[in-house]
Amino acid sequence: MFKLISGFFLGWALGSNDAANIFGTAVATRTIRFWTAAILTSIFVIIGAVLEGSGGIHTLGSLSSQTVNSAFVTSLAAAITVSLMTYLKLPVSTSQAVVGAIIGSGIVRNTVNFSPLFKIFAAWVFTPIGALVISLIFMKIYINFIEKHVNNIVKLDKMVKIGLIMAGIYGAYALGANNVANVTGVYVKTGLITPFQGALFGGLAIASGVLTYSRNVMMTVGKRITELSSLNALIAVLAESTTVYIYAQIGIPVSTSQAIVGAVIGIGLVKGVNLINKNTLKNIFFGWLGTPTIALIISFIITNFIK
Amino acid sequence: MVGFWGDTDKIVELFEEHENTVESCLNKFVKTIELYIEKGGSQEVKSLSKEVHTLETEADKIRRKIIKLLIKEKYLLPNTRRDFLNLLEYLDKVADYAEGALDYVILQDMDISQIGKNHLSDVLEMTVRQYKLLKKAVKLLFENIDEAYEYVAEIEKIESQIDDIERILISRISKRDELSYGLKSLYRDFVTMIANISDVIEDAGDEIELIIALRKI
Repeated sequence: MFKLISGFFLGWALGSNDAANIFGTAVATRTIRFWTAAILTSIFVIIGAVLEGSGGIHTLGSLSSQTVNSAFVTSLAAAITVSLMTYLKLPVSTSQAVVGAIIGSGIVRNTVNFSPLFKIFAAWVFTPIGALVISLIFMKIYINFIEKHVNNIVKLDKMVKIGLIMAGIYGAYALGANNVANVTGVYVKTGLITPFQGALFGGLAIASGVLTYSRNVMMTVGKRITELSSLNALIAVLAESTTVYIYAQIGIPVSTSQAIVGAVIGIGLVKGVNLINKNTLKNIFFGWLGTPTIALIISFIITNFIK
Repeated sequence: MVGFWGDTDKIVELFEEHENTVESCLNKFVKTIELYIEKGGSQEVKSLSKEVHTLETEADKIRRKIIKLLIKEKYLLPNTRRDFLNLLEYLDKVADYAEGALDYVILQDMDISQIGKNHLSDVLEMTVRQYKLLKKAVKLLFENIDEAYEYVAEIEKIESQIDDIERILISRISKRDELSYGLKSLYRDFVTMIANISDVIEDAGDEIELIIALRKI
């Protein structure tokens, strides 16, 4: 069981980074307290992981066979990648780091199954695009059907406040369902733990990151998102959560950070504001290619070293 | 309604109370100035001036109640609290400026009948009308925010008209050779003080516009 520790480390890093995309807006605008957000996120991440986390676990498992040692190395390489890039303030996606790490270790052991890769890569590319389209749809629905019914400040504030909490809960559930595979998918493949145990353990690991280390990221990311206004931020979080949840149903772990970027761009399109800048695009492309490549190299080196 | 989200009607009620008090203060101020032009610093003027002070203090008290409620209640977003505090500040300044202008005249025992009675009356009447529009715009924030825009536009129009009259008055005062420099300066300051009431009503209108704009998609 000691070998699960790198999985826990990875889950912790995931939780500390990704909670910001869910409740960052609400916390940064002081709509809800950090601890309320952290506890709600933790509870619903675990529920999402346990109830609907198995799809992603299966997909990641199909990329390569695993031994307990290779699972340990894969998780460790992904966790090092995430920590290193967070330290260097580079954009990072745990999902993309894990896939890179699985392939790196698999190349050394000659066990990589490249066939699911196309599906996974397509999902990454379509995450921001999907979130963009969903946010466009949500914006149109709001403008055409809801706006006229919410025409006073008190009503609007109540709606946004309740909405941010509900969207946060939904986002936490979707995060658990979608991303738990990153944390324990490789361990389930070894047979060391059952899918249920993997989902529970992964959910707890993510929750530990949320509870212990997500406050600063929440404030930073949240403030960036809320430059849009609370109402637009609510739509962005809803679109992001829906996108991530759809991929949980498909069974492919994706990046919540890239989903929120897509959603924000969609809102910009409706408002007639160009929110696409070179840096945003650079960060997304780097997430698709740079993150898995770095994780692949680290995993390749560690696996070779242990071998 | 008092519930999980707090007392939602209380804030609306208090805002209305504050606006009505400021309106009474403004009306009383206009009445006092008009009487002062007719009769100078009579006992009646002094008594009315006292009422203006009382109403201004009353508005301040209500303002403090609103601030307490805005801090305590959970149903408003922090940004809305800030915006409402700004709006409240402007509304309160209407009474402050009226009180200030009145004190300026009475304490210095100025003969403002020299300034141009008709123009002055126009400015006062327009300011009262402008404030009524502001009251409606604030009310609409709690009822139908889209309609509030129309009132804000009307408020701006009146402010611009008052500005024109202010310029005419100041120009006339400056050209009057029989007035000493000191007296010209006093008159000019008084005209500016009266016009400032309209400016602050416009500032409140701008704040309303901002509140609405930031809450639209």
